Amino acid sequence: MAIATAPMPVTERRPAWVAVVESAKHGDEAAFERLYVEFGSMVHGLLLARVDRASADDLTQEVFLRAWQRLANLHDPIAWPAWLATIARNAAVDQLRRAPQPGTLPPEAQLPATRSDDAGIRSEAEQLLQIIRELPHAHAEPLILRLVEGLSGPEIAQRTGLRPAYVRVNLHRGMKLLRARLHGRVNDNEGVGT
Amino acid sequence: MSEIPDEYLWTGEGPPSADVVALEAELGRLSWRPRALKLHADSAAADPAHAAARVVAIEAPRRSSRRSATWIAGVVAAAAVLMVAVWLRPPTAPSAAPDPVDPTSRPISPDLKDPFARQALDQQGGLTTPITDPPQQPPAAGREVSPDLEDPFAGSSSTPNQRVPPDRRNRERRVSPDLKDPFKSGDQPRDPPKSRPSHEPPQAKKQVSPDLKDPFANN
Repeated sequence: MAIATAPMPVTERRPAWVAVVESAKHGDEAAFERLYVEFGSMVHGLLLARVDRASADDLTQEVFLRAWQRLANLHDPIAWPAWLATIARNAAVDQLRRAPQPGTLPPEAQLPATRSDDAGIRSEAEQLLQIIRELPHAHAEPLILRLVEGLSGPEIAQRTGLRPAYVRVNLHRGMKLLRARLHGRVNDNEGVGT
Repeated sequence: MSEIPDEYLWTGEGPPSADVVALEAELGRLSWRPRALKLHADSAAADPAHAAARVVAIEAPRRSSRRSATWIAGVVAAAAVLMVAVWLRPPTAPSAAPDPVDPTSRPISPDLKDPFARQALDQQGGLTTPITDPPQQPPAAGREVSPDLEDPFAGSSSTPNQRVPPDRRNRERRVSPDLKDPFKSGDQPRDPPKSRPSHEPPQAKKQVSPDLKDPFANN
């Protein structure tokens, strides 16, 4: 995956959550719950780029449970965001590898909704989410984190452990692709209506 | 759609873009809502049904192990009782029936004849043990032993073997009446020619064909 190839370098200024990670490594459950609140949206956004919403909600809990169980394997607390993001991506891949169940089909396997059942079956938000999922992961992830989870660009970079410039480029390219898709979709609808 | 300022998309600050705000408002409904984090997934306190299932799962092996311990104790007790019963059993009286394994207890059929045992009894007037007093071998009836055969163990025997001289042996040899001596002049029987030296084994003697003539014989 292209995102994983651009990790954020270790900066001289240590973020505030590093001390929280240190406390959680020593078995502080309260500290880990603070990490859960702070990084839960990032994990949920990464999962939402790959699986449906119901699965993403359940997998978010599972990802943090795995992280809690394997926290002793994290040697450098500064790598916590990238480490957690890797666990989230692997959890989504594992979910897609399982036997297909209702609600856990990969986004690519889901049949595109026809124009007649748009309003009945899917909400507008889910349709938009599906359009974003069809973009490359490098573009879909920052777009979902920005538009769904409400994180700013620097927050996305900090919580995913990616370079800010890398996130910025992919965010703007993804937004450009999304505009094009939405514009074409509007044109299709207008063409059908006329 | 209008051109979205990069700064708002990146920082979320500044003059907002209409379409980005619309997308944020629409997709924001799918955002993550924190739930209570269960760090101990195996803790069953929150779910009574799950807790009951766990109790059953824990109790089941205990019950089976208790059952197996009872079973083993019963088997050991039964084995101990059996061993004591065998140990305390009174010795049984010898049965009247003969032991089928012991050959001496079998009645000997009158049809069976032991030639050696009877002969030994007849000669010695009593029972003999085969080791200290071996029964004498009866002479083989109707079996002619060739006088030419020599006993290779005769030298080590206690009784010296009386060897018959070759001259006498040839004299006693039966001669078929049909055979005629071609060199015989009259009816008077002649002594057989001198035999070969005695150092030659008797097996080396060959019958001379009547067609062969002895060039050195005197007519």
